[in-house]
Amino acid sequence: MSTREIKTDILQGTLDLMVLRTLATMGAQHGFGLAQRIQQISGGMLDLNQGTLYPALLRLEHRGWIRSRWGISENNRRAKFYEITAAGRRQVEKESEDWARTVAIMDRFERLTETE
Amino acid sequence: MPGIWTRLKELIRRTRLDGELDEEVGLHLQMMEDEFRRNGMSEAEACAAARREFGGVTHAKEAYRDQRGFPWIESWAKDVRYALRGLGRSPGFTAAAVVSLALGIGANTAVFSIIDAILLRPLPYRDPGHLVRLFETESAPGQYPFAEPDYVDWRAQNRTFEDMTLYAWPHDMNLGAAGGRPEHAQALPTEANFFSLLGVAPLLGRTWATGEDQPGKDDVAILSYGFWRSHFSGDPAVVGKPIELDARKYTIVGVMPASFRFPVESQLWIPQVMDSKLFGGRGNHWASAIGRMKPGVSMKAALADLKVIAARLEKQYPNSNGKVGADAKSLRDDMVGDSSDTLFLILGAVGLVLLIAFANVANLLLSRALARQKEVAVRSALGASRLRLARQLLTESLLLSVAGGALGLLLAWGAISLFSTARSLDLPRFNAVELNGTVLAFTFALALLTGVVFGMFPALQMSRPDLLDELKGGAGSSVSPGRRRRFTSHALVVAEIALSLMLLVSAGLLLKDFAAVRSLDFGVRREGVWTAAVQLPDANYKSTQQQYEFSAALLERARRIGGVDSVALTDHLPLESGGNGYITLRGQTGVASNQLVESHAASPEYFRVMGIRVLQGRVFTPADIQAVLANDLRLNPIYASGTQPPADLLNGIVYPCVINESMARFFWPNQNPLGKMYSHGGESGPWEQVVGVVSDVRQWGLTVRPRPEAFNAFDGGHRLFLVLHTSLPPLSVTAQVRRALGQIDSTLPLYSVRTMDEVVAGQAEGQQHLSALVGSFAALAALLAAIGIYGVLAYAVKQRTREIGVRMSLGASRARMLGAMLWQGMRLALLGIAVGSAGAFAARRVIESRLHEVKPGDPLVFAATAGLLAGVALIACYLPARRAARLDPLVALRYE
Repeated sequence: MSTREIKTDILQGTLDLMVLRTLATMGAQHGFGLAQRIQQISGGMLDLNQGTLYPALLRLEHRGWIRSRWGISENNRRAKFYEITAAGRRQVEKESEDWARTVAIMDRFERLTETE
Repeated sequence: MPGIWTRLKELIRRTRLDGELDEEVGLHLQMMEDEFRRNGMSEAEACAAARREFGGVTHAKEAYRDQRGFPWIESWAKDVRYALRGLGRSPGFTAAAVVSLALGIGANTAVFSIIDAILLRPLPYRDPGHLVRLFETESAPGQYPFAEPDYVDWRAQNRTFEDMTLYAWPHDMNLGAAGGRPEHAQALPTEANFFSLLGVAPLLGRTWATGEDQPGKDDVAILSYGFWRSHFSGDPAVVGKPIELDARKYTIVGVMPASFRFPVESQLWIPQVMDSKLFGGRGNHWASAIGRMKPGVSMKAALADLKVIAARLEKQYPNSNGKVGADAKSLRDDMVGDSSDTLFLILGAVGLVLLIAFANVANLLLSRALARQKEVAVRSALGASRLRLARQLLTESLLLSVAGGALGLLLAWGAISLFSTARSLDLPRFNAVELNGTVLAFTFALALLTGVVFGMFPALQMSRPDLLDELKGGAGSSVSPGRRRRFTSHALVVAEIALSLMLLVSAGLLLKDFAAVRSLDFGVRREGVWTAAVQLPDANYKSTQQQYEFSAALLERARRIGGVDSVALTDHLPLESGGNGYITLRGQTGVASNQLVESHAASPEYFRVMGIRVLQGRVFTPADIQAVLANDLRLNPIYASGTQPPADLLNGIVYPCVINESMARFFWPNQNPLGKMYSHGGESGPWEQVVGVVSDVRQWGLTVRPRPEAFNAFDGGHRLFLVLHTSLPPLSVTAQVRRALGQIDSTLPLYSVRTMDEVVAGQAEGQQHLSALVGSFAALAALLAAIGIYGVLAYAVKQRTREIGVRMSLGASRARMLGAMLWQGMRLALLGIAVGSAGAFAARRVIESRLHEVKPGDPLVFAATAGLLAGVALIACYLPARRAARLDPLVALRYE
């Protein structure tokens, strides 16, 4: 089996971090662009239902981590652009640390099973 | 909180946002399609692939919308809409539930507003916690009015009070007859510091200035709000205007606000002249007093201080103050008096009504929930969570309780305005009864509590339906509902009947007692006895001779009225209190005992008018009156000059007196009282000699046992009651007496005109209103219970329709069916009546203190109320039972 066929379901809560991180590094994006970027970054390994992006965007907006405005897309169409806010950037830092810690902990357990 | 703002905007601009979402999603799909086409797909393939990648479009939009705005509000609004539709579909159920709740909540709100005014809110005076009512005490009756010189000593010698103030009984005064018919008004004489001690401000003008309670400076008056409106049409420039009271000119200095009532409602206030010479020394107890304690002084310390003063006075004046002590009570306790007992009795009654209303609503909700079992099962099978179902039921009951509460508030508002205008219950009125914030909060809490409790109740029962059973179609309609649920609903009905019986018994006892008290033989006949009061102003009737001449003239003219067979004058009417004191028997030293003797004055025909029986000796004769007058003409000028008559003069005076049986029995048991002598003034006379013994009269109220009482011959006075016996209609007598009075002195008003029946009714008024109130609560309770039992039986008939059809087609007669259904309902009613009787009997102590003539276990009342309630229940059962008996078996069999 090639690795391309193994697609991972998005872990609960991780989509928010992906969106925030993408917006933080790539700047303002519309929904389609954002979905594209996330797919690209994951190397196509994510099974992302692009529709689920919209409730997630609304959630982040409610929390004040991103904001949206209407603009013109690259092919001259009205589109809604999302960008990260200052609060969103702080959140990214915080969540990244949490995530790194979780990964480190899980990593230790993984190594444990490998050596035993 | 940017989140809330965004969400609010989302809520308001929902349609526009929906459009934007469509646009955004549409663009997304378009871009995906473009991408796929660039990668070489056909248009149709690209479209399908885009949709696949995107996932469910509708689902995504739905998930998006669910998050937008305030999701819980929207789903709650959905619940409310659904509940409203559901309630609208069964208007009968909705009306029964809302009306039950409205009656329960309304009655409770009204009663609570009274409790709030009397027990919860403070007295409307400055710093009311420091105000105390002061009393002197006597050995026999306990708390006793003040003798003015004692009060002056208390005020001067105490160390615990900031100040004290004195006031008298309300005083009837004649208003000048400015052109029209002369009128009278009630004025309360007070010391000059009265208003400032209470800390109340006038609406217009001022209150008393210092020194206005001194002789010669006391020609000032303060009007009550009501009097100002009725007699001066609310003239804003009334201050400074003159008013004539008892033929003397007063200047109006102020008007008090409508809210000021103390201690009773009086129409105006005048200064009490603080001159000890006017009040006959320390033996004459007539005044009331209140004090304001210094900050930090406890009631106990204040009382101890006052007792020291009383003991000092006792030593100083052993003759007058030998039995006089001190007592004090917080003004609040004094004003509330025993009304808190009455209030709690009413609250208990109205609380029972609420419980019954609750039981009714619970039962209605339960029946409704049973009828909707299938619906609930379907919704549950379609994936509605238990929580969601419970929330739905809760919403419905909250809607009912809010509607019930709103309607109840309306009822309460009506009841309160009725209470504040009518003189109904005998309750203190220092605070206005009103629907204020506290009362509204109470009502709101009550409604909310009702909604939650009764929403939870069926919600808990219904949110775990047996899905399979319910969905198995036909089974649901013929199989009776679960035993447990039926038991609950039956238990509720039994409780309703029991509670309403307890209320009915209480009401029955109160009503029977009221009837018994009203028809009580208090020693005086009622039929044809007419009474009225006249007040002789000091300005025109200062001398004994003037007073005598007036009374003789009045008697003479009244006797000439055709149809009047006897006429008399007296200083106190029966039942309406009087004066009393200790006596010394001739030949003994000191007072005869701690027994006070009532003393009244009456003219010769008094006993005939009142139907008081002469048991021994004789009553007064015109010659007695002349003899008394001769003595009074000698003594009164001496008393008026402030000196004591010489001892030999007093000792030689003998007044004739008529005593009652109680007095004869108490002081001269097994002796002939005729000819015995006693004195009110110690061993030196003047003497009273018993010339006759008459039957007892209750002088201090219908329910107060007669005390030893002596009558003196009435030769005139300032305040007199004209009483007469006639076969004429009372109204025509009034007109003729008024004319006769006008011929003697056209400035004098005839007031307080009443038949003896009305005097009696006035006595029992508080009791009448209490029993009427509890009676109406009991009627309400019985009505609610009847609705309850009707509802349960009607539901049972509906449930058993098919069974009834089967039994009737197998030959059961209609009469038999009627009997069976009646029995099903009456079984519950009878059980409830038995439980309620036991409960009422167990709780009879609660009502005992309210009863005078009837025992709290009166079997007749128990039997009558049980019978009444059984009758009501029978009617309530008959209606659904008749429906069962009239069922067409063919239709019933097919009933689903």
